[in-house]
Formats: sequence, C-alpha cells, structure tokens
Amino acid sequence: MLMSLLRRYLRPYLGAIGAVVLLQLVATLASLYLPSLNAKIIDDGVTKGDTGFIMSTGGVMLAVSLLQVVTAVGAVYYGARTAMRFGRDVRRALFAHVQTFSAREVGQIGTPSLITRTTNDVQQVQMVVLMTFTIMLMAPIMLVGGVVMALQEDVGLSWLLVVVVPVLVVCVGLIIIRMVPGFRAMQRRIDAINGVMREQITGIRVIRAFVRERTESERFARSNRDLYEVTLRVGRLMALMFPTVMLVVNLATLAVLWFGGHRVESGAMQIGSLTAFMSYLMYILMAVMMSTMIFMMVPRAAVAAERIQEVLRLESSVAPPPSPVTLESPAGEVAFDTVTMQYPGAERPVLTDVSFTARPGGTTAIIGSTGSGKTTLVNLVPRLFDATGGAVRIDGVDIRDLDLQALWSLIGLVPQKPYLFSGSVADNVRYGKPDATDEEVWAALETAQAASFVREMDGGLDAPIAQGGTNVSGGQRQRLAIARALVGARPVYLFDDSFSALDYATDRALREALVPLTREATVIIVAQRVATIRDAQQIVVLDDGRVVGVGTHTELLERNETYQEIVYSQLSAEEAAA
Amino acid sequence: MSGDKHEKAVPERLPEAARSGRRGPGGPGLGAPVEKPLDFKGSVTRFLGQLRPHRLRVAAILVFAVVSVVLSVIGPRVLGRATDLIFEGVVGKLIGERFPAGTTTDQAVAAIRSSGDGKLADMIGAMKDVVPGRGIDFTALRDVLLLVVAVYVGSFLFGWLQARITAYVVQRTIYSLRQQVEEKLNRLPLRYFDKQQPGEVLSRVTNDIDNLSQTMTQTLSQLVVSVLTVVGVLGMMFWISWVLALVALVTIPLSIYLTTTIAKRSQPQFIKQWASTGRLNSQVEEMYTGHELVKVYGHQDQAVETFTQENDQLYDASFKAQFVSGTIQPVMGFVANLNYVIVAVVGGLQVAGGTLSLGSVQAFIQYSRQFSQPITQIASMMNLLQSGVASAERVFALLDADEQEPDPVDPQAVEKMGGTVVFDDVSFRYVPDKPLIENLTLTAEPGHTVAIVGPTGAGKTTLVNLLMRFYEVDEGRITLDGVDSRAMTRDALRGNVGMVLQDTWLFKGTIMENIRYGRLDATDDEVVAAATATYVDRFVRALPEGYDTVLDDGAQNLSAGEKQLLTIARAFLADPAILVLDEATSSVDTRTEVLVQHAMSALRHGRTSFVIAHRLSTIRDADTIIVMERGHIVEQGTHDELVVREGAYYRLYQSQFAAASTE
Repeated sequence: MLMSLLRRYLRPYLGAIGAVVLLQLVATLASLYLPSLNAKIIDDGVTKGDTGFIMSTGGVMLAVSLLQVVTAVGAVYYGARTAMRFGRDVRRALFAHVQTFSAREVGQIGTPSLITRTTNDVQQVQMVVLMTFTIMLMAPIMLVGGVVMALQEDVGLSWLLVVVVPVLVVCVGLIIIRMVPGFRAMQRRIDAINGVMREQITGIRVIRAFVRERTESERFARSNRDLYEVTLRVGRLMALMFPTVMLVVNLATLAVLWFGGHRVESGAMQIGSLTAFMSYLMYILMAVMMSTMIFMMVPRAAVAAERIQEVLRLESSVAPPPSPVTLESPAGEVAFDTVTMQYPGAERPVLTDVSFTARPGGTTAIIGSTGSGKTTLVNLVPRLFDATGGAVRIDGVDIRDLDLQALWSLIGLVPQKPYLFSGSVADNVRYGKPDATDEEVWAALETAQAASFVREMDGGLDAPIAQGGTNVSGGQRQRLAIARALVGARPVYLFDDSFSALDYATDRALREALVPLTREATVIIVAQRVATIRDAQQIVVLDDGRVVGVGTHTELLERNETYQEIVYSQLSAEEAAA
Repeated sequence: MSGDKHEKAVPERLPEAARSGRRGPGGPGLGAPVEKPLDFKGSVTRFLGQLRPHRLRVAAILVFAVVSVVLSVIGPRVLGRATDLIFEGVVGKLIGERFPAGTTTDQAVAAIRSSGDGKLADMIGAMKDVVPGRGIDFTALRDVLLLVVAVYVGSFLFGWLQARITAYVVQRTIYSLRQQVEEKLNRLPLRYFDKQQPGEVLSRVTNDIDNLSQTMTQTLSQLVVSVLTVVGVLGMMFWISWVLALVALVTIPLSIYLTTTIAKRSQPQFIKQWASTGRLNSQVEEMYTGHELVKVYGHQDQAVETFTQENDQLYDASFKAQFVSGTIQPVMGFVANLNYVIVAVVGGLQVAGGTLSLGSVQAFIQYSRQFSQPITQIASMMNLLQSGVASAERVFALLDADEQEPDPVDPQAVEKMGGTVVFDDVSFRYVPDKPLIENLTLTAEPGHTVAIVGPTGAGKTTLVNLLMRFYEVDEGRITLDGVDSRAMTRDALRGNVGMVLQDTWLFKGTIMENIRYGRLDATDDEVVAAATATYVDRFVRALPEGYDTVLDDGAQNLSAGEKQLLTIARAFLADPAILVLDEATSSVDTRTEVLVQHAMSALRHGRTSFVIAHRLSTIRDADTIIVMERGHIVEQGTHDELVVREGAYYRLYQSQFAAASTE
C-alpha cells in the first residue's frame, strides 16, 4: 500500500529523486573520506613530523568538507521539495476525489475520518518521505561505505564489526520491542482519560445534580493511575535506551584499541589506521541506529497510506449519465415511482415501493416517525444517493439521465442539519446564487423570517458566521439555511425537517411567506410537527419505509390510523379536530 | 416574534464573544507555533514547586547526572593514555630497530636530532615512557583499558539510574497535576464552564498536560546533562591544551551565528506553515462537513480551486521551512569538520613539535566533537521549554480560577424533605449591568407541579440553575421546607432535588450502570423496577445484551427518545422530593414521545415538580402555570384561569394552536 502510493505520486519527480540520491551519495562518501584523511595526517604527517604534509592534507580535508556541505544542502533542497510536492499532490488528489463522492461514500468512511485522512494521514506519509530523502538514503550508503573504508584500513579487525553491530541491534531492538506495546497502551489510556474528562465536562450539570462528584473523581483517578503506570513503564525503558547505546559504542572503541594494539605491535597495522578504524566503526553504528529508528516509523506510515488509498480507490456510486438529457424550461414535477432504497450492508430496505407525485404550485408534506425513511427519501432527489429500485423522475425524466450539475441547479435543499459556512451572512445566502444582489439577499432573508435578526446583528449582512454556524442559535441557523435555498429561485424546494427549531409563531409566519414564492414551484417538506404541515396540499404518511397514506390533513385524520396516532401524540383530540 | 424554541441549558444572555470562545483551526497538524509564555520565570518557579514532594529524588538526579557526566567526560582523556601507550610502543620498537641494543631513549633522540630530523627528535623527547626496543606495553594498556571500562560502565549505571528516577519524578508530578486539575474542576462554579467552550477546558487538562509531560521528560535531566557536559568538556579541553582549546573555541561564535541566522530565516516560514495548515485543515473540515451542500449548490469546482490555492501556499511555506531548517545539520556538520581540520593541523604541528602527545590530540578531537552536540541540544530545548512553560501557564490559570463559595461551616442538617420550595424576592444577573431575574417570588407546595412557560431568554433555565445552586442568587433567597438553601451543603440540597434535562447525558458504560447513577447502592431489582416504571424496560429487553448493553460515545445505539427515557429512569431511581424537568424539544420519535410524557408524569407523582414546558398541551393539568417574560413572572394561575384571563398565556396558547385550528 505504502509502496504503490509512493510509486504513483513520486513518479513525476523521478529526476529530482535521482538528484537527491546522487547528492546524498557524494555527501556521505565525502564525510566517510574525512577520517581516512585524518589518519593520513597522523601516519604520514605527525609521526614523520612533516608540517607541509599536515597543512596540505588539512587543505584537502577542508575542500572535501566543503564539498560535503554543498552536496548535503543540495540533497536537503531537492528532498524537501519532492517530499512536500508529494504531500501537496496527494492532498489535492484526495480532496478532489472526495468532491466526487455521493453521500453514501462519505457516510461509509465518515466525515471526521475523511478529514483526518486528508490532513494528518497525508502529513504522516509526507514526513516519512522527507525522512527517507534526508536520513534513510544516507544510512545504507554510510553503512556500506563505512564497512568498505574500515576494511580498507584493516581487514584483520573486521571481525569486530561482525560482533559489535549485532550486539547493538539486539540491545536497541530488545528495548524497542518492549516499548512498542507500551506506546500503544499509552495512546489507548490517553484516549480513555480524555474520554472520562470529556464526559465530566459535558455532563457537569447532571453530575452535580446527582451529587456524583466523588464517583467521577474516583473514575478519573483510576484512569489517571492506569495512564501513570504505563507511561512510567515506557519512561523507564526510554531511560535505558541512551545509556545502553553509549555503553555499546564506548566498549566497541575499547575493543578496537585493545585488538588493534596487538595488530600494531605485530606490524600488521599502522597506528593511524587504528584511529580511522575507530571513526568508521562510529559511522557504522550510527547508521545502524538510524535504520532501527526509521523502521519504527514505517509501520505507522503504512497504516496512513492504507487509509489514504482506501479513499482514493473508492468510486462514487452516483455516476453521471454518459449522454445526459436536457430539460427545456423545467416545471419541477417530482415523481417517485416504486422507489426502494436499501443501504449497503443493511438487513432491510429503508424505503420500500414508495410512489407519489409532488406537483408544482403546492406543498407535499412527508410525516412519519424517526427511522421511517423521510430523510433518505429527500436525499434521493438530488442524487445524494441512488435508489436501489424504481426511479425518481423530474418532469417525467429519470434523474439518472440528467446531467448532475443541471439536476442540482433545479433544487433548493435545506438539509436536516442546517450547516453554514464560515464567512458573512451574505456569503452564506449567496451560496445559493453567487451573483445575487443585496436586494435579492434581503428578500430571501425576509421570506425566511431571518431579516429581523440579521438587521440586529453587528454588521448586518456582513456579520461574521463561524464555521458550521455555531455562533448563531439553532433557529437562526435554520432560517439562514432556508434563505440560502430561496435566493436562487428554483423549481424544486426540499425542506428536511427545517422548521424544528422554530417556535410555532415563526414557523407559521414562514410558511405563510413561502406561499407566493412557491406558487410556481414544487415544495417537499419533511416535518415532525403536525402543525407545520396540516395545510399542505398533500401529506404522505410514511411508516417503516412504506407509504401508508396520501391525502390532506382532514382526509387522513378521518381514515388513516398511523396519521391519527401521530396527531394525537402532539395535540389533544379537540385541538386536532378544531 | 423571533424567539427560538431550542433552548439549551446554558445561560441565555451571555455575551456572544464569551459563548463563541476561541475557535482554533482544525487539528494540530504540524503542531502549533511556539507560544511565548507570559511570565517565564514565575511559571518555572511555580512549576518547580510542584517537584517539592520529590526533592530528595531531584537531588539524587542532580548528583547522578554530575557523576555520570564527569565519568563520560574523563573517559576520552583516559582513553587518550591508551593511544599514547600504543604510540610509545611503536616508537620504542622503531628505535630498537634503528639503533643497537642498549641505546637509551635520550641517546636515540640525540642521534635523531644530529641526523637533522629535529622535529621527530622533539616528538619522541616529549613522550613519557619510551623504552627502546620494547614494543607496546600490553600490561599497562590492559590496565588503562580496564580502567576505562570501569569508567564507562559507571557512567552507564549513573546515567541510567538518573534517567529512571527522572521518569518517575516526571510521571508522578504529571499524575498529581492531573489530579489537582480534576479536583479543581469539582470546585469551579458552573459559571466557569458556561463561559468557556468545553473544548477549551478539555484542551487544558489533556493537551497541555501531555505537552508538559513531554517537555519535562525531554528537558528536566537533559538540560542539566547538556550544561554539565559543555562545562566539563570545555574544562577538559583547556586542561589538555589551552592553545587548542582557544583555537576550537573560535568556531563556537561561528556556529552560534550560523544557527541563529538559519533559525531566524526558518521561524517565519514555520509560522506560515502552521497558519497555512490550520487554514487548510479548517477548509477541509468545512467542505467535507457541508459536502452535500457543496454538491447540490454546484460549488465543487470552486471548492477544489480554493483548496488548491491554499494547498499550494502550504506547499510553498512548508518546503521553505523544511529546507531552511534542514540546512542546519549539514552546516553545523561543516563547522564541526572545520574544527576537526583546525585541531588536526594545529594539534599535528604541536605533536610534531613535541609540545603535545598524540593521545592528547586524539582525546581533544573527541572532546571537540562532544562539545558541539550539547550546544545544539540546548538551543533546541529552549524552544521546547517555551512551549512547555506556556502550557504550564494555561494549567495554572485553571488552577487559579475563582472557586465557588465554600459550603457553610456549620450546615443545617437536612432530613428527607417535604418539598415546599419558596423563591423569596430573588434577583439575579449573569452580567453585572444586565438584570436577568428581578424580585421574583414564587411558592411551590409539596407534591404540586409548577409549569414554567415563556419565550427564549425569559429566564426559565436560570430559575432552575438558581434552585440547584449552579449559580448563586444576588438578592433574596430560596428556601426548601423553610430552610435557606445556602444554609445547607450543596450535596444535601442536590441530594433532594432530581433533574431531567433535555441534554441527555449518558456516560460510557452499561445501561444498568447509567440508571444506577441515580442511586449507587440500588440493587439490580430496584434498577429494573425503576426502568419498568419509566417505560425503559421494554426497549432494553429488546436489545441483544439487555441491561448489559454498553452505551458508546454519544450513545448512538439508542434513539433520542430512548436516551430521554433512560435519564428519567435515573431520576426515578434517585427518588427525590423535588424534581426539575426540562421538556425535550428536539425531534423525538413521535411514538416514543408519548412514552416520555407518560414516564414524566409517573415520575412527577407525589413530588414537587418544576416543569420547563415547551409544548403547552402537556402542562394543562399543572397546579400552577407561571408565565415568564424578561425575568419577571407576568402571569400565574391554572390553565383554565389563564385562558379566561386572555393575557400572555392565552396569546402563547393561541400562537401554538391557531395554526392548527384555524384553516
């Protein structure tokens, strides 16, 4: 997964990657060459007292070191550029791909998860790519180069490498292996303690009302204790890490001196080579350390890559038609023809054989208990989902034959959760019609019963709206969302439980104001409150995904049992009949 | 009228700014820019105070750190002696080969000098222990190496112990800090929580403490070790050769200059990168959350375009930030190499001149390598330390927040209450110059139901907040069975008042545990009895795991109505004398709604009840209906009396049913 993601999105940058490899190679070799130059200074300069040689070799060392810094900076330049471009490209691909999703795919992965995948997961993979270009490439070069150079200095001591490297790997590996489950447990326990805290803060009224502060404190103390224990365990392992590495490295140096001393004595090795060998051993051990650390990062990146790939591979279930039909001057008649809808993985369909027609110039209301499929029904019209059976038609044309953009331009939707975007009040209303004039915006606000509170807001139309609309009340949010739908005069309006947060008086005023505006249009209203819909031209009663009645309030109240049940639960008998 | 029906359990008239709070960009992304603490010194001192219970351990950490650093610092010096031994052996052998046996070192040196090789003669002359003809003295070498082994093992042991104790002290301190914060939360008035976003408070007790824990782990002992190492190494360097030390020191200003220059250039890029990440994340969040709207209103192309712009900016900033900061390492490496060359050249010349031994140069080179590392570390720790102290400050601010008034020292004992509740000339305001409730007087007889109606912002929820002493009255008093509620402890008061809010709070746990929350010592049978009385038993039995069903985050396995029923069962089990019911307004499933109403009236039976009503049809049989407007009671009476009066209640009643009854 990680590899295929890398292959795909790094391909455009093969040239730059080649440059990174080359520069990194030169830089690493240059830094490997330095100890052997130092050995030369000692062997051929210091021991022989040759000042001229010391100076000239020093000059060479400086030149090599300059070459090293230039190539290393070059490698960082191309490495950082490529890694960041990779991240940018993956993010853009993800974002653009998610835009093609229907509500089904969004629901399948979940909005919060999609957000994390586009931001944090890409970040993770990008960091690994960056680390690869800066460190991971260097480690093998350094390892191989270090071994080669060390062998060149003295083959007789090379058995030390065979001993020291595995010792280091085993020591570090043992600590890391014991640390990894600790890290996982730590993450889980941090989540747990945060969960307890979150519950305590959100439920503070209930906790205090029931005098349960002490119970909650005990619960928190337990979580805190759990977290403390695991962090202490991990902390103690970490405490062991650095001293252990230093001990191995230092003891290795001593071994080189001892065994090297014997080889020097026997004349098999020069003393300068001994110091160089020590330096190379350091390089090798450092490379081993780096590789071990990086191997810890890769699994996390692999998980992130998998999550990214999952999104990229998911194809939208709502496909645009190959040859779309164009509607000339659409009237907006919406017809449901034996529509059945079953969510993937669900045992039973949410909607079964739903048939009715909503005609222009009138209101069609949909009522039914929660879970009866009302929202699903509304979402089928703009093809947020596609029905699994039957067809939805607008002016007699199957909506699956309409161009998606054209279909959407017919519909003014007010979703159940009236989401607002960050920006101003006007920005939000203009979302429905980008070129709307101020007059048009005010007219829409007026109809939506939002004009009065917008006027009272600081800045009026320019008053800021926070992301999601969290800085206005639920009722205000609903009314702004309604204004957004109304501003771009459309043939079909869908109100999904859009009046629930309004008081009765506002609800009523709004419905009255809608009358002239929707005289030409088809209006479909989903509602919980009988009062909201009793003057609708047509009421569709849903129960468990089936249409159990269609008619006016009076007709249904007379003969429809489900409708009666709903009405009586909300109004007393005489109020309902009045 | 434009009042909203949706009324949350928060004070109605808080200033907008206080409610919206700070809304950070979505997700930390690459981490937040380093925040500068307000009072670095003061906060550090205060934080160190948190370590007081561990002062012996802290002392041990310091001592061990010193020992460990000293040992690791003398290591190379002793090791240098080993190199000298080897070198002397080599030279001794050389002399043995060049000169006849029996020649002393002095004779050999003189001979070499006379042959014109004055430098070599100087060098050998400076050696301590050259025996002509004898090779490397392996016995001496072994002794030196064994000594070094002891030094290194000692350094390992002390270093490890020091880090281990540090881990303990850090985790203990963090544990106790978390406990302090939690205890503090229990003493904070509700006013505090209403003013802050829950996310803000949560972030202090979680993210900030986490950050503090990490900062401490990484700096507490490291800082000491690094500073000690710098001092120790510097000392050793001067001890070996002050000339070389001065030469090596020349590169320090250079490296400081280079680091600060690079840091100065990368800092603004990092800030740009963070800001851009924040903007991009919140854009992604917004576009994904409003996904269906983006599509239906045809804004996809525009969304992608805006995203691409921000994405490009992020790329630009993060590339520059990574590149500029990425150059630090190679550049510092170059400075280190420069240092290496200078030391090698100057040291080589000195060895050749006989003023310095080869082993000393070797040791010196090692020291100078050890020297640059802790300096870079101290620099990077400074950043970490700043963000840690900023976190500590936020935690301290929470610990310093004003607490609620303590309970009376000599509280009135409260038996099982009869249930008479009197609001006596009560006035209250959330914001000093905006009176919310003024001179309100109200009496509720035992067993009676008092329904409170009125538009949003009328003060209905506030009344409940005052009764529960979530907020304290500014003037007047509230009495229960004739006792001023401030004369009893909060626990005693609340133990007698049950509450069902429309905000159905359930915690992660089984259904059984959630109901038992009402009375912790209730038996399973009592829980089931309460559940049966409040229509909970029926749907719980339909769940595959019954009462053992675990309610997960937000209890998504239950409908809104069922959650409401659970909270009613909880209050039923608590069996309080006085009851506060906040009627649900959210779109509860119509059939469950009927059950909720039945359950609520079962709960009300025989108790003094305050019902905040939204639907007038449910409160017609209340003993008293109170109509509130702008903090005053404008009308009071039974349903029939108020309808006849044709006042405020009648108008409200009309507006709810007019739509339904006049076509």
